[in-house]
Amino acid sequence: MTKSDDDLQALLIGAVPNLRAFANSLCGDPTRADDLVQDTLVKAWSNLDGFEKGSNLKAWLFTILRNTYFSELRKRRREVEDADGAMAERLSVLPEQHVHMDLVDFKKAFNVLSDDQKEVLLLVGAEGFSYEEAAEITNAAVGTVKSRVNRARVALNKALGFEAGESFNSNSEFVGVARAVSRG
Amino acid sequence: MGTGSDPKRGDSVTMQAPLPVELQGQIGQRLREAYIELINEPVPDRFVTLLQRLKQREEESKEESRDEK
Repeated sequence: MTKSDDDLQALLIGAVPNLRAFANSLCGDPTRADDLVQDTLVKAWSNLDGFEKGSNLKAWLFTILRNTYFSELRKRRREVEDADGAMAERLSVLPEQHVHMDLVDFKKAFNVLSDDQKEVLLLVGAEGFSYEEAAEITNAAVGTVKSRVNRARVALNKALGFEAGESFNSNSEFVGVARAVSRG
Repeated sequence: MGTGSDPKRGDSVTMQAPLPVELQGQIGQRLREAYIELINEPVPDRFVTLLQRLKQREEESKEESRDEK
């Protein structure tokens, strides 16, 4: 794919709503999410030679976005290590107007997840990437992705207070730990 | 996947049983609802402008290198 390709501009613009949704869900800050998307587009544009024609453009863009996000996050964490509560404050500024109550609860629940869990759940559960694609995007093993998705679902379920799942899961987790202990 | 008979799968992480399918479905549906709402937000002009600018800059630099020859 070349930069003169007129379709390319359309393809990149076409991916923006999904990139924004992903960035927003990951970082919980609409302004920062848009900056992330902008950085992603600029990086994608200047690295087009690194994109293999025929491979999945959307997956490639998501890879750039999450790599940008996590490297920024690591930098920020070093910078604000002492600033207690900065993270919690940032997470509480989600845009909540015109959002149904159910969804507000869901967003709150979603924020109990770790970044690792959020990203795989978004990729697989919301974007519809396969486990294999998600593994490639996050540079993790397929088994790790499956396990993260599973744990993310269990944690979300618990945070949302779905009863059946809660008792089912705390039991099975306990059994799992107990088995591991008795075997060791 | 995830049978208890494999000795290599002894830790609590991999032993975590998946949610019942019905609950997975409920969670998946809420996740998609919340996500679709975000996807449906109007795209700010800045992204269209950005791509136009990138393309423009590309074409300008091509012309410059052509002029130099």
